[in-house]
Amino acid sequence: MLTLLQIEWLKIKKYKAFWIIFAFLILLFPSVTMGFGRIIENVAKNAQGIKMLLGGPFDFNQVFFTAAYLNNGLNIAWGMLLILMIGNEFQSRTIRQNVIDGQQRNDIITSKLILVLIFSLFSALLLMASALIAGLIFAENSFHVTSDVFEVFGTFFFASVMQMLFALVFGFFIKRPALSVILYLGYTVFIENIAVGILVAIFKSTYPKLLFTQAADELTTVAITRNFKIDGEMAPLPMEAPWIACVVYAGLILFFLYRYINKTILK
Amino acid sequence: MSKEIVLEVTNLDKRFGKVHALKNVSLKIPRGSVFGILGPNGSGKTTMLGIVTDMQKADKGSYSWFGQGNDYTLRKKVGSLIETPNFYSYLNGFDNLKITQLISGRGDNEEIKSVLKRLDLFDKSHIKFGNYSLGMKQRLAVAAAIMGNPDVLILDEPTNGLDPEGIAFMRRILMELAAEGKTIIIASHLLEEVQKICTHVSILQYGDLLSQGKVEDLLGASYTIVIEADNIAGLDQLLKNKFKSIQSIDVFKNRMVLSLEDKILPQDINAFCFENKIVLSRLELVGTKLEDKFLEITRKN
Repeated sequence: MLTLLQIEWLKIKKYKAFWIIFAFLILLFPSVTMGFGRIIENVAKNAQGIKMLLGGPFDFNQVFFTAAYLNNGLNIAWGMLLILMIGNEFQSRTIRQNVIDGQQRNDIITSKLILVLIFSLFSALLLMASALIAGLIFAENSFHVTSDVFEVFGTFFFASVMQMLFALVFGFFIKRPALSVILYLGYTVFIENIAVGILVAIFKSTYPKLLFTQAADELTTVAITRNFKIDGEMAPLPMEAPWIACVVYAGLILFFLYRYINKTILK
Repeated sequence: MSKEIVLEVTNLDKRFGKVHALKNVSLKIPRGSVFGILGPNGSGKTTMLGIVTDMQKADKGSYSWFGQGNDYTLRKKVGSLIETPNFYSYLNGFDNLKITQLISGRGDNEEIKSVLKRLDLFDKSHIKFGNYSLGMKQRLAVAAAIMGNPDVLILDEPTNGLDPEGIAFMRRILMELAAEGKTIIIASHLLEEVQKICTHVSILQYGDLLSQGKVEDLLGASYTIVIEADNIAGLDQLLKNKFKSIQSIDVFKNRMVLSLEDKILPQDINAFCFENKIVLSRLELVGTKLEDKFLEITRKN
């Protein structure tokens, strides 16, 4: 495992896209959180009613839930990076060469899963730091931290893992970096959202929100809707529903990825 | 030479849709041999090498490295260059070899420097692979293959796309490696090169293994005599009548190529021609070239 980590580090430490996305996320996590905090602050100043409705989204500990909800989409950037890396490795045939040199086929997937876990951990830590800073700036109550924070950390970490697992599917099955990124973005940002919207309208249910990457988003959404009823008249999803969906998806993705890599011809 | 078998391929069979790429191929590669795998394009050479290096799976049959099966750990003892050099374009030569070293477990940082020096790349090891010339890329691939002194080398078309200087460099390296007693499995179109260094060959065509064995056994005791004269009209029939061991005669203008089953002394041919008032301007006895044998075998099939 340590050798795989060493190899992946060698690959990414001189990979420009990695450092660009790394810097982008370091800037964006706090920017999104504090930008939204500033908006809420301004709105609340002018309309006390809205403040009553929203409660204190930037108060401790709610700020951690709010930040998780706001920043969930940023993990798409890690997904794009993974897709680019995988696509480039297929194109330059280094995946093939690594197997020829004695790498186990399963290690091709495992090494990317290691990256998924590291990137997710980094995202979760970045989220906590951003939320903490935003809370210290915008919270109207005094600083305090409860065990809820660990729940947010875990939920966001798992949501990040899920987002990136879906990216691995695009990366490994499509193989071409540019095409995979376009399809991944097109699917997660547009197609799935539209499809979910239509399905929710047709079935008058929130369960279509458990469709693939939406289920990962719902992890943080469900967490925040414990305090804010943002689903309107429809019954919100049960707390455990997105977790169950994500665990099932993760199992299926891993099963099919390992199966695929062990059967495919490495050209 | 030890009789230990480093690679045994048993009844390998592979289809790609309607194309039967490998048909029940079996062969054994002894330790210390330089084993040439010959065949025209599409003969199944790369498919077979792809299977034994786990790039693809056989439909039927099996293979065993060092008599121990086909576990991935056994591939770490094999240095391979299959078709093209495959490296990370944004990494330099050293980092690329470091990745190979970490995967294969062969060698260390000093060994990486050593192979870079041997392949004349040490001064360029800081340059990104993407900026290497084709010859440098190929040399880096050979460096990766020989790093850590592996038991076996697989080289698939190692001179592909190289300029004459690159080919000469590669030939020198191959000669050195063969002289070191390494087991080398080489697939190549350059039959003259193969004949120079190979101890064993196998010939594939359309997925069939047509022939395999030691080079001297394959070439056998057959010879060719080339003669040239101003007027050789009718000489072919005269020669055939006189020398029964002549298998065939090919005539090209004033040149005649005699394929012999048994050796005939050139002076006997010369005397016979002189008796028939034909003065030869060239008379040469040559052993059979691997290329000729290859063409003979593949054309037969």
